[in-house]
Amino acid sequence: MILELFRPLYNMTAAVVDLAENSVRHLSLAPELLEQGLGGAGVNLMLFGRYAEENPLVLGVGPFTGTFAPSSALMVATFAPPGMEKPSHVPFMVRTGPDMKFSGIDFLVIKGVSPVPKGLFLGQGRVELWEAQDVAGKDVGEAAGLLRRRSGLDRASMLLTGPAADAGSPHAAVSTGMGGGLDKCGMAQWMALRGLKAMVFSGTGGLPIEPGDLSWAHKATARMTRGRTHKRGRGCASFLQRLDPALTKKGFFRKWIVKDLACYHCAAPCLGYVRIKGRSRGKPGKGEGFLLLDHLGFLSLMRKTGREAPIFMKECLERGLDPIGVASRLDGGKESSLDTLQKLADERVPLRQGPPGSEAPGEDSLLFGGGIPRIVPDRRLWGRRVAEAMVLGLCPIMMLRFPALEVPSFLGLVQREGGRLQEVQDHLEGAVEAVLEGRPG
Amino acid sequence: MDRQAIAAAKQGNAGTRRAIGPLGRKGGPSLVFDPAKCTGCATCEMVCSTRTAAALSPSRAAVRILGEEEEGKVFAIYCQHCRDPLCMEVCPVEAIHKAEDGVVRIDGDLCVHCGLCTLACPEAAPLAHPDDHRIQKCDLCDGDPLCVSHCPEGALGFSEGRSIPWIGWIRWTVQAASFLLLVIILVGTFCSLSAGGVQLSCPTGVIQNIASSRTLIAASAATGLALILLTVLGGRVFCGWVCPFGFVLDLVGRVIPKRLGLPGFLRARAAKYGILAAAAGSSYALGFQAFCTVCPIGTLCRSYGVQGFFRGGELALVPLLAGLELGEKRAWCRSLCPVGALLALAARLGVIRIFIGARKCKKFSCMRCAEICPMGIVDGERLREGISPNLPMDECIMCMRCVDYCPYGAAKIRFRWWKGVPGKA
Repeated sequence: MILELFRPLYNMTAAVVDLAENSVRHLSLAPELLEQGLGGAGVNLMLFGRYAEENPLVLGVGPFTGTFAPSSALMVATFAPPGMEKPSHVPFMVRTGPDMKFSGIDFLVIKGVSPVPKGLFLGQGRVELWEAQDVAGKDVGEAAGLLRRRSGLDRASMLLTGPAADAGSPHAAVSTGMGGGLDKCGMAQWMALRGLKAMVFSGTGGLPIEPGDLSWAHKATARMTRGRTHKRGRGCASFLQRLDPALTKKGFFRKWIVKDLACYHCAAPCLGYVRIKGRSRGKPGKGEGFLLLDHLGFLSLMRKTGREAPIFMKECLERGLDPIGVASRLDGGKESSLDTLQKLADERVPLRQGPPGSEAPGEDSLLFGGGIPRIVPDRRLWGRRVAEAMVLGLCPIMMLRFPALEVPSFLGLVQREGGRLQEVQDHLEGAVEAVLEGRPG
Repeated sequence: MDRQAIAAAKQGNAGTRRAIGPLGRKGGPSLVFDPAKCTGCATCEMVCSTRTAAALSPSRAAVRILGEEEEGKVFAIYCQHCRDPLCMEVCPVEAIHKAEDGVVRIDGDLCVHCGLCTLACPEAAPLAHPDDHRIQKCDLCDGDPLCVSHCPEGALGFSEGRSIPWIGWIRWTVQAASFLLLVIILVGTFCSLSAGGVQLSCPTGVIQNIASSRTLIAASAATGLALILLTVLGGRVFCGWVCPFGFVLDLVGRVIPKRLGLPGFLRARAAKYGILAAAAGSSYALGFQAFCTVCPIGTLCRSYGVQGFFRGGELALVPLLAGLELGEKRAWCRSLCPVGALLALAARLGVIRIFIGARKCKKFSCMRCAEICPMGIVDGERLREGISPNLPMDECIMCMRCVDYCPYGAAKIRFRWWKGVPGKA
């Protein structure tokens, strides 16, 4: 029955990439995976279990990714960070999730080790392996431009690592090309160790939709968001203020954030474009800026570097560094310089025995990449909401910001009558429990 | 496919569509995009694709949201439904046509996906899909655009344009009343008017008076300041709304079917400043107000009223100069009028100006402001390049035709120091 409801929301295609053998195997998505895991982190975990011996990286989208559900932007990367008992699920938003789904692949298992840097291209239901030696060592922005030119798609989404990962820095983080990412648990290191440099998602395909579904789904979405994603308190600056009210008294955010931006089909934007007015140190950076996606990282840098936080953030993004990890190594004095940051990027150390989230957010935070803010004080509720979002393919931040957006209303998007919702919800409960327990299927 | 088959196919398709409305004097239907509101969520792309491709497939949408990563800006690419669509001209199979309702549509059955329309369109609005090169182009959903109704931020709007140029009617009334007052009723009063204890004078006449008498009398000079002050506060409203000769030029301009153009020396806008200097210089040399004897405004006021002098030479002057309208609209005002030159200098200090805003302006797809501006100060070339022009307020006669005729409300009167962009909700 689950399959009947969710099949139209998937391509029903998966692929297994072996970097060592330079091979790609395309598979049909097994119905039992969807029945048990529903999607996203749930199915990722089951696929991870099947290939657990090879410590794979599994990418997946949820049933609602790319659909009419509000903020349906999520793609989940599941892997086993060193030193952690449970597999971790790193969320990627903006357009990454929809673009992966519209590339024709729902789930991707990556295993093996490539001797040379490789890139993956997903498009039209196929996965191609590229040589990516020319991208290695380049700044993230430059590398992203190179990959877009190579794919011939100016809007392709991607995941890639920067020079910090190439150099073996323990603070390396996976980037979405422009605004960094929420990887704070070692996914970049996993990719660097396996010789995987980048993944590009064409996003040029689509899912068929029945005539009439548009207005129905739109009405359902409007019902869900009415009065909940209200105008008050919206925007990146407001969100940052909410995360750290102490810092906001200085009134930094509103001056810096010149534009609020949103992920795919999100009515409650929390991303922002930060403009750097000018650099107090180093080369002038007038007119430069960056997409602020990693709220916690930016706040960490603000606590250490104050007004220079945008400059440090930009440098972290260019080098593919995790701002939280970098902030933990800055002491706020003379060491808080761009030279220190460069040293951190070039630092070649053995793979650390533990996640690099140096502000010690705890293992339950790192279960979801370490970049999702703890908006909800109740740790258990926080974990549950995030896990639900990770399974359904929705933005976990929006799920946390608007607790009134209940899961049954999302499930109502796949069934008009609502008769079988209880059954779906039971399956969701099971998938969420599995994700929270880190129990591979 | 032969032409008959193409025409038959077009006719068949047109029959199934609901017309948005006749074009008439309206600007034509179009989407209106506000980049300040857009968050780049791409909901418009998603809903658009459900119509263009019956699928959730943003890459198949006819509207595209792009981000300027370096500047953090977001902008939308969509068909502007130009008045003279270039895409239609270049289409080799005549698959693109502009219907009576103003909507430019592409016939998918006829399209051969050559992509010429995407190259010809200044906005690159016909979007070729990267996989199969099929062309997607906005058809405004036959009057109820999905992107507009689904945009969570209200950044996209739909406009059929406006059609009531009410400012024009007020201006014609004021111009006619001014003409009646200055020419017919109060003969000769433009040059010098006494009303109660207040005396007002033509500022150019005052300058000539000072030059010819070689004496600066403060009280006399102050009489010319009223018009200068009015210009500083409201721009050259005298030229656009009050000047009786300007009214004559506007009347003549309405009956002239086609402009013939003028030689270069008559089109130089700086010439009027030279004439102003020459008027002052000649008055100084000759000892009388030399230019006033040939001033068409003064001549009109003095000679054509019921109590006018009807002197032969002066009677001929007005039709002669009005004949310049055959060459260009308001040619006298643009290049020759020394009164206008003096007011232009004052207008440079003016507190108000007309903005043509980037958000609502349709630029190359409309260009109505460039067509109707009597002073020719709306830069059509910049509009063709997709840039909203800045108006030089010293040359603007504040006729407000651009404000009145802009179908999308992009032209606005604002204070000079206003930093925003018209179109902000």
